[in-house]
Amino acid sequence: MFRHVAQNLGSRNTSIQSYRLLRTRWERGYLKDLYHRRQILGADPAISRSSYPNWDYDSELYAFGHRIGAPEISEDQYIKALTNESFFQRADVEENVESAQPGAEVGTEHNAELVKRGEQNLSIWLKRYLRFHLAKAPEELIEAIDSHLLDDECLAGIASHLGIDHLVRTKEFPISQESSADAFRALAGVFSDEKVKNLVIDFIVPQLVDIDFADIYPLADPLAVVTDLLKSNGVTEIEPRVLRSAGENSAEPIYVVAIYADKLKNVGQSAGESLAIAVDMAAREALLRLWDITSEKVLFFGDRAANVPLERYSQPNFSLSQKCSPGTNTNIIDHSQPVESPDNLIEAVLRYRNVVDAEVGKSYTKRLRHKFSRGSLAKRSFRYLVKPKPYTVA
Amino acid sequence: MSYRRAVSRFDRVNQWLQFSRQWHVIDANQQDAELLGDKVARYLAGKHKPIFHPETDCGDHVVVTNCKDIAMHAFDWKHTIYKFNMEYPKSKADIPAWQIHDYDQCRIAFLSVYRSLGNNLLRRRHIQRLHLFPDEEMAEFVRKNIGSQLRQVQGVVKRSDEYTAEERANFPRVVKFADKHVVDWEKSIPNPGRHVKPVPGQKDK
Repeated sequence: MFRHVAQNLGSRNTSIQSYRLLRTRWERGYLKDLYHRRQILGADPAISRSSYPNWDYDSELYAFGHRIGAPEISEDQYIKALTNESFFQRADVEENVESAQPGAEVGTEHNAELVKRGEQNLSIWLKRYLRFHLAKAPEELIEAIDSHLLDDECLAGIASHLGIDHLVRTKEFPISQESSADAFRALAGVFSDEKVKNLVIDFIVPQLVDIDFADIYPLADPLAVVTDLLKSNGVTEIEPRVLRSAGENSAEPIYVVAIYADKLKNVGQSAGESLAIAVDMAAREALLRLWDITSEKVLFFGDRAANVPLERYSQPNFSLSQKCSPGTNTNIIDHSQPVESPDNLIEAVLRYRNVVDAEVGKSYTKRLRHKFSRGSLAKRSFRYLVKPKPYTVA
Repeated sequence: MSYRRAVSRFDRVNQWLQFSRQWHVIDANQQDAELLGDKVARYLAGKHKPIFHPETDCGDHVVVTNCKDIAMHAFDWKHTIYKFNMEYPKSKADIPAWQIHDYDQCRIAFLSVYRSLGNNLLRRRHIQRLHLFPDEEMAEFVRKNIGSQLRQVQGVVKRSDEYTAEERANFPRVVKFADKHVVDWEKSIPNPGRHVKPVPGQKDK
């Protein structure tokens, strides 16, 4: 009989003890306690990469040189470019400890001079590239894009992806954005002209994809600027028009406004939740379209950009203040004064009160709650409406 | 990258444009109530939008005008029975459509849209975006809100009482009626009155 029963078993792991996730009663609480203690302790402290046992600064520099496409630069030049001025104030450097972190001989040179030269080199090549692509744009826009892309934040992001953060010799840890960006600039100072061009094309230019040009260069009065620019092109009349609108008196109004030239041509179009915002955005879109900055624009990257003779685009483009009339405000929006939120809730409430409430009064949601919802605390019965009649169902 | 771009100006206004609620207007003159209800319910629930999801409340507003001229198929004004049952004593009633329409000219459109919205929890919210008017007059703020017009669900034909005498005369006639022929669609025959059965034994007075 027992043999017969044993032969019918389909699996040997029929016991509850083989369930891999099940824990004994004492073990469950124990593991939860360990987890919560770890939560209370917080995160582990950040540890420098160079403090791990498999760190070799010379090898890292060698690999870094190949990573950024400049293996011919000597190690001394790399060390100089990656040494911050504050490195010599480190405690272990001052005490003359052997093999101060992150490594290499202490030396006496730092990258302050290289940072200035590198920033200049990067700016020269980036502006040439921008003038090649944005030939119709004013020089002010190119300056704005240049200052945005060569900002500490942007360069620090690129440096982080290149692995410069682990190689920079500086006093602080973790490394600040400024030090990381300075190291990147110093590398541009060490490189030859051709290498700087490739550095700009390979690492800085792709950041253009994520840029909104209307935010980089926010003109204070875009409609006046677009009017002046179009009039210098021969257009006689420029006016904004409302193409479509919906929900003017509702909580979510929407307007679509276009800028028309000579009452015929639509030169820019945008939406907004109020007429002022829509006209402003339409004017900005008209400016970008006038400068050939559209979503269909194809930027050159990689070899395609490297083959362009960028040296020919060293001369500045036209200036807005020259093309516009003297009375036009070509300044950028002043960010020092606080701007009120565009989603004006009080205005929407007052609009409802003055326009809708004055006309139709309060809605009957409470009176007609038996039609909209039964979620009432009163829980009153609707038995008085029990016999359906045309005057009760309507 | 280690940083992330803030929402730009164009992103903000384009998102506002994408999620804004359109206000549609549709003329219910001679439109079948069921077909109209299906179409309007679709726009109230937002099912015409690529951003539609059952849990996304993205429906538009719909303004229905000329509700008093809404149409039903053939004799459905008499045969469509709206059933109401509240499960209380005396709370069950079957009311024909014409009686409801006599009392409230917008109610038939409301009921057809409400039925088409489906039996779910959201239709009470969706129906709040329906604006019904018996004729072409509406509140001024509603007229200003309208930003779109919906195509009607069926063509509007010319009614027989809208043809002028000149148009009738110009229409080619194949048959010529006799002088005594009664053309009853021009005007009704006057009511001859209730039949009174003479009392037996009495002569006509």
